Amino acid sequence: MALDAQSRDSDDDLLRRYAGGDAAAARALALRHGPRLIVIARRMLDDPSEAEDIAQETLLRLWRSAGNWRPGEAGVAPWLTRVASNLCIDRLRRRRERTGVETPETASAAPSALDGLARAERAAALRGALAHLPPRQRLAIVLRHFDDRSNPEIAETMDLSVEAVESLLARGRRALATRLASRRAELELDNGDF
Amino acid sequence: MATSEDDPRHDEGDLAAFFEAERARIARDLPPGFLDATLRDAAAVTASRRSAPPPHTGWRTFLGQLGGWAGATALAGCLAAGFYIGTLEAGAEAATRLLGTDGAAFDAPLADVDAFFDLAASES
Repeated sequence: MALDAQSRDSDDDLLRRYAGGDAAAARALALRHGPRLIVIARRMLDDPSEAEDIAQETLLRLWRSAGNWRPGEAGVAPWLTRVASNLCIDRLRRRRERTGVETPETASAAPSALDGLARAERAAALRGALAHLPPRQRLAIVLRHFDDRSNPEIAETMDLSVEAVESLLARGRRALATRLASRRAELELDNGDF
Repeated sequence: MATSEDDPRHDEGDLAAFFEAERARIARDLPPGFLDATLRDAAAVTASRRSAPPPHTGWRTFLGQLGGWAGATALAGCLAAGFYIGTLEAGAEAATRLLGTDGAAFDAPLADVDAFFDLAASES
């Protein structure tokens, strides 16, 4: 039977089947989780190519763990999120050590000439502001606002208490608001838009 | 069940317009080539798992835990030496118990014999 991202099989079941040599199960898992991993990594790193590397590496680690996976012990999705998050933070730290900044060398914050729309500019402004957040604040914001994770889920992923996550999120949002405050008029966002 | 507080939009406040714009930017699609690369990885891991030697079972696991043949040989040597030394000691104790005396007492008859010959020499 062909499997796709919509397959009703549980992640644990698919992983068990992959460990037994079922390539279709690997495909279903990649289709189910790959896009989410890429989105998280892209928002963390602001670099599409690095984001793909992170997602591929995360799934590779899943394949390697399949043989020893204990069903029900750790959900596949939270496990993947945790691995991808750690890889992103490592990548950001290496970037900082190499260049002194965490932003990618190829600046992608500026919108292209073609998308002069206010929406694209707002998105670019947000990415620019996100790039200035410390890695853990950035991760909390990305998981909360772009991956729709609840605070307890983020706490589990980041190995923190829920209170610590709430604090990270509050500080992150404050830092974003401060950094974006000066852009409101420029982006035609008067108070009525908020 | 999801509550309104689980919705991240609930606490976006002044930043809502920025988050919304950024959410709309990245499609949740896999980039071209990504799936193929990932499935190649998966196939390579499967192949390496199949070509790996089977996990040890039974006595081979036990042998592995001892440190292989070298460890097992060393352990057997130690056991044999311990048994030999222990047997010698036990044999000495048993002999002592049988004779009802200790090692020092073995010298006494010899001393008596010497004295006997000394006496004989003096009488002759």
